[in-house]
Amino acid sequence: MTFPLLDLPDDIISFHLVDCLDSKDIINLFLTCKQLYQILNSPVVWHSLYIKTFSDLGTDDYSFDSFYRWGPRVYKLRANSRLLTFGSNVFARLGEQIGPVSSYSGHYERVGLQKRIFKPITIDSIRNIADISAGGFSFQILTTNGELYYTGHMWHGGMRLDCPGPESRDDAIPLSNVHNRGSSAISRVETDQSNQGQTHFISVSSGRGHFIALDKSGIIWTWDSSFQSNQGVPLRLIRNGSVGANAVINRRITKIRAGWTLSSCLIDGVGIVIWSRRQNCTQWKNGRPVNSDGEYPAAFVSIVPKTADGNIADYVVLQDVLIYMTQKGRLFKVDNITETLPGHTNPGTRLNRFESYIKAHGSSKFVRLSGSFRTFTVISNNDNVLIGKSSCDHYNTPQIVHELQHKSISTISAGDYHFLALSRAGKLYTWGRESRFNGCLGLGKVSDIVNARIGHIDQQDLIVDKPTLNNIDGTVLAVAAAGWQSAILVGKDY
Amino acid sequence: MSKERQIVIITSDGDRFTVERKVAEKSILIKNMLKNLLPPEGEEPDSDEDNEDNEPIEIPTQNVRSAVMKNILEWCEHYKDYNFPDDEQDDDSKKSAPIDPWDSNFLNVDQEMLYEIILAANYLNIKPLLNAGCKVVAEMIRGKSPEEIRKTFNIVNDFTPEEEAAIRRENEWAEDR
Repeated sequence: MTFPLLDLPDDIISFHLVDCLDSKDIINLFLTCKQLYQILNSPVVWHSLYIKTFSDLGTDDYSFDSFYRWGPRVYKLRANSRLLTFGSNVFARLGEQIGPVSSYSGHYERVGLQKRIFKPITIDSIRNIADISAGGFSFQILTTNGELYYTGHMWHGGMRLDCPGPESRDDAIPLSNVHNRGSSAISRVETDQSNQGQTHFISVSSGRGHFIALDKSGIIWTWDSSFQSNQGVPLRLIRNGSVGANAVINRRITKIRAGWTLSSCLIDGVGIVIWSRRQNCTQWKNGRPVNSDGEYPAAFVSIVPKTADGNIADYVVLQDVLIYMTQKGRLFKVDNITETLPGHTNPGTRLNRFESYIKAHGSSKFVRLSGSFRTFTVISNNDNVLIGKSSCDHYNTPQIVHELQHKSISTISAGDYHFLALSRAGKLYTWGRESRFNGCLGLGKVSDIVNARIGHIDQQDLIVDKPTLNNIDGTVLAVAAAGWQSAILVGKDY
Repeated sequence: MSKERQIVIITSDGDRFTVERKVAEKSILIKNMLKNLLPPEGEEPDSDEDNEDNEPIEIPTQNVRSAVMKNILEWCEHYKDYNFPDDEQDDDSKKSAPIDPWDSNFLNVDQEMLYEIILAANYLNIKPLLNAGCKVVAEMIRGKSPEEIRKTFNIVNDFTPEEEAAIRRENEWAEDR
């Protein structure tokens, strides 16, 4: 007898079997017969497909109700989406060299010596994007088949930033082996120099001048030295101050977050760990850089207390604090993360004023957290949007942007001084400061913005105080801002 | 201290299985039924109910036949001292993890029995067993083309050539991934 697949109840197929399959297998099931096509063509299956294909370790960027309204459309939009970038193009960080003769002449204006790219340019050299992460000087792009790329010539900014990074220079890693094709300024990272092929990455996160990525086998890779080429360094995580076999952490990593000058990850049964230093690479083994003992270089980690018991829903690492959100939707801040206790950081303290605000405005918990540098944003279950800033009582007092409250904002991404907000309807709002007119708000020419009274000039900067709708052709599906640049993924119906 | 009341599960074909409470409670359906009938485990029953203590609690399961129940109870017995986290069923990483070797061996049964175990695990609300069963079926699907899936499960392709072409066109976005 063959297994009677078609006799299984619909809910077992949609809720349970689909969860055990990869997206490719689900699509092949669609094509077998009418009955399976009908069973699978449901919001729950499309939602599952979307998360499996595009999400960072199963994080749900889209609320389930989107799939009831849009069904497969949101998946198809994302599968066909294109990467658009705007803002500062120093080091060609937008992913394209804009030469004197360019099809992008209508996308920029000259302000002083620089080209101010105020209208998004489309980066066509890379497709099937699962995730974009924005660092201080570059974007990192993860594709749905696990390839990792970065934009521009210098993801580290060339500034020899102090940390995180190797204790001394990696003698084993060549300085540069980057080859860009044509005007495209996008390079693929390298992992294995042996013939065993490249590593399959499942998550990426960017700091100011470094980035980290997690591969399918659970290894964290780092690009964190200004002498490093596109060759990644695989890491072993060692408890700071511990020695022996117990010091090595081998448990499953569930999230990675690069902070401003730190790296961190969330580990099952251990909690959030952070590190700012790693051993250097002195030789190669099996095609990968290793330390003098022939092992992956050790990153010496400190553990954030009280984060081990599986209660962390999400967290961000800013310049000087770490903010985490619990599964129950509470918000905590860990101060002075760079000044660690032996093997541990300070414990978190609750951000009571944030919680009081949302409770007084119809929400019971926080559901989404993002942030970088000196800013974080949180969204509540009743669509309140709150911003925490270093300059606002050292993150303790929320800043409320009234234009964003109860407007179905699903994601906010903050650069050094600017914000991108995405609504569930796929609309993009931008506001903040364009340092030296860098174009990162994508709202048009400076003169037009000032004449329309959308923004004003403050010495060398353009300031737009209120979230302003950005006229993008298509549905915006994801946003990433950092430093002085912005990236969006835009889908269109075909 | 009074003796714990016996729990007897009665199958659709009339067989009776006497089981320990913690074995029976691997089924969330039975656990919820027992919650209303018994005090929490480890607590003494009220004294005025003592006269009922010797009566076994009978739980009829109309959808599960004896041969299947025997297998289900073997699984429950194996995991009786293991506490599955409440949220295990919502943890996608656990679903994408390879099947546990013991479960894999346990579910190495004929296809009809596998089908009935999956249905029974669903009815009795035993999520870890249901997930293990689905993983076995997923392995039969993984990496196969639509035609190979049809062969594996004896499925007739009832799309007309035009319909199939239209669906393939519609699904072009998902190819080359």
